[in-house]
Amino acid sequence: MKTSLQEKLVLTLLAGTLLVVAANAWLAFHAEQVLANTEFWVAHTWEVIDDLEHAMSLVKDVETGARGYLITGDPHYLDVRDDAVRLLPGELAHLRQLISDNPSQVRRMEELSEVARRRVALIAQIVETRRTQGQAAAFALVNQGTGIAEMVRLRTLSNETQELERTLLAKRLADSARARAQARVTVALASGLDIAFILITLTSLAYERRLRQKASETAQRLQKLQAISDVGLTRLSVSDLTEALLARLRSLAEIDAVILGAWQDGEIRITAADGVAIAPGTCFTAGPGSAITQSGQGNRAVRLFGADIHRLGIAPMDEQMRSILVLPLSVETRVIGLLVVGRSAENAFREQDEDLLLVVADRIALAIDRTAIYEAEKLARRLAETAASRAEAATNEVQLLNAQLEERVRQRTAELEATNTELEAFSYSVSHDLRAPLRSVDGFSVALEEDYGDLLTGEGKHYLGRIRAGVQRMGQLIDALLQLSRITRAELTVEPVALSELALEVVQDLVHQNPDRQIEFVIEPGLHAAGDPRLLQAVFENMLGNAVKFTGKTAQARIEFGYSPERASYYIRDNGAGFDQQYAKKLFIAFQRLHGEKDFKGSGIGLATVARVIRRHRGTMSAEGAVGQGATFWFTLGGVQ
Amino acid sequence: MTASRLILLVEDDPDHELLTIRALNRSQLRTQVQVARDGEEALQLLFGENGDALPALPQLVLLDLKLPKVEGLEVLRRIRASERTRMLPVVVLTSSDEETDIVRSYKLGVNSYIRKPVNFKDFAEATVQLGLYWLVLNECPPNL
Repeated sequence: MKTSLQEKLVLTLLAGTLLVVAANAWLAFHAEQVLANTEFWVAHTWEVIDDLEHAMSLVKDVETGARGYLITGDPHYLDVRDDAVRLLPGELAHLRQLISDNPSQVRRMEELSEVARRRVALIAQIVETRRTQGQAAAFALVNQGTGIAEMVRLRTLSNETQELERTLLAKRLADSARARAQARVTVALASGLDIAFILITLTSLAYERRLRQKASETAQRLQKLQAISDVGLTRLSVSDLTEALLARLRSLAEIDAVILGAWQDGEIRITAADGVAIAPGTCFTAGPGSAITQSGQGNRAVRLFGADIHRLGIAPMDEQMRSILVLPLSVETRVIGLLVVGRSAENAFREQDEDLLLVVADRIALAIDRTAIYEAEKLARRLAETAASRAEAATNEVQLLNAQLEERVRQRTAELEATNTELEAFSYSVSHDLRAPLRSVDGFSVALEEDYGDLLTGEGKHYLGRIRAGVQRMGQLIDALLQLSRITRAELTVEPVALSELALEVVQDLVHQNPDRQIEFVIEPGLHAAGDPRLLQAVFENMLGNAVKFTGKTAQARIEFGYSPERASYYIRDNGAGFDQQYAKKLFIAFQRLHGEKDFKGSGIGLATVARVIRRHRGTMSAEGAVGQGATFWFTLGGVQ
Repeated sequence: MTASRLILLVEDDPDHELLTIRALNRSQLRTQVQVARDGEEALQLLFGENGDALPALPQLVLLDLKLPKVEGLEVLRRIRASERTRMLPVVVLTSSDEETDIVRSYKLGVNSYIRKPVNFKDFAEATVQLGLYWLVLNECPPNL
């Protein structure tokens, strides 16, 4: 999930970068357009000014040509004038077209054209007078005419026009400079943005790669951790466990030496060492500055390298290793031991190593604690058995210890269940193999009886009968054991079960199997529960079967199955032989029987099987009874989902 | 072929071998019993070359599952895999009533699956019934 988020981010960044590059290109293009536009207008202004100058010089040419003719009478002068007169209208028209965008210039140009036209017309009139009436008449016309005023007016108009165009030019030049500057800034900004985006994209790509690498490292760590933890789940004794753990730890975490020790009262007592020669049982006590004291008392990991190595406090280890990590093994907040790992390379533990090993240390601590509890519980049971015959005070103490242990054992039961299943598999295969020789014993007993029966006395035949009866009984016990083990190993398939109907089916079978018995069955109808139908059938077979068996000597036998809302429990009740309430707890333990084989036959496994099924359904079970007054078995099926 | 009434008993426990043969001998069936003490020997008797094999196929194979060398289920698989023996009646006779063993046997095409009872008389009776059923009552395919 994390990776895909990262991918999205990178894609977004790439898209952003493309967008910025495109925007940048557009901005540069736009700036160039603005610039070209401004340049065009600058060139335009220069053209207007040039044309205006040209037009004015044409007007002057008209005057100069005419003046020469007036003075000399040489008609060649008129050629200059004629050329100028011919060119002037075109030039003026071009000018008007050039300035057509500016109304004030248009007005000025119109006036200028008009004055120029009048001036040219007057000069033409003067020239004509000179040609027809002579020089004097022409001069008279020159003096009397408005020539000078018009020339002045023309010059003024031209100057004004030029002035305005120059002002415009200055403004346009400034515009152009501004546009250039703007274009530069725009391009610079956009390029900066480009670079920034590309950098961000590259950075996030690198970041993503780092994340991926980190994820793969984490996966590797978890795998190693799993491999190490697996060891802890199946071992039953602390020494087996530590041996297996240390071997696994060394091969997986690439560790050259490892020590495991119990921590108590500022002292480490070595339980196992691998890769370094320290005998188990050796004790080390070190000062407050030592690494083991810091780790043990502070419940924290201590990393040592370089000259610090000698602060460890465990003699041969600090001479052989060049990097050392001391890790506390703690259960809840209590340090129960220390794990010391070493590598012969200098400064070889990185932070990831420390993280991994800390988790490993937690698992090891849990496994050791659990196994220790298991061993302590076994010990306590043995103690309790012997102590019972001694002083009562000792018994009380052991009982107290038992109670505490039981509480803790309950907490770890879930973890131990895996181990139990293994034991059950073992007991299954044992029971299985026991049947084969049993069959031989029975077979040869029969063969003996059949083939050599004539040679045997009555007593000899009786003994053979006893042998065969013993074999049958052992066969039944093994079968019961097999059933018990199978129930423990069977997968629990939970579905709605019609309990009343199930009970009725079992009752029908029982009636069929005991045709000579008169029993009143009272089955409460309509009871339902969630559970495994096959296992629940085994419950009814055993409990109702028991009830039938133990009412064998009761005159009016009555067996009930029902549900009590007050106690929120199911019950199976009979009015048979009953039992002494003080032995009630023993009922559910395999091979414990409260009646002699002579009175009631049985394997002693039936109720253990029932109790196990109930426990697997997360239910509870209890029994009430009195000798000769029947028995009631209560059970719940509460906890299954 | 029916005249020979040969049973191949694959059984590694010498006690059970003796008891089975005794039970068959005491019945009214006139049968010959050939014993194989492990799976390999059984395969040799059925498929062996170099003259190790039986001259003719048996009428019935009584097969234990827990066998040395080659286990019973593998023997069964080989019998069903060969064109010559695929229709040979095979009855598994074993101590195991593990559901997985039963299911695997039937999947491999066993004809019957019998759990050996502890009681010898029941066992002897079961063996004789098996012989009676497969050798006398049951009609085998003609080309066997």
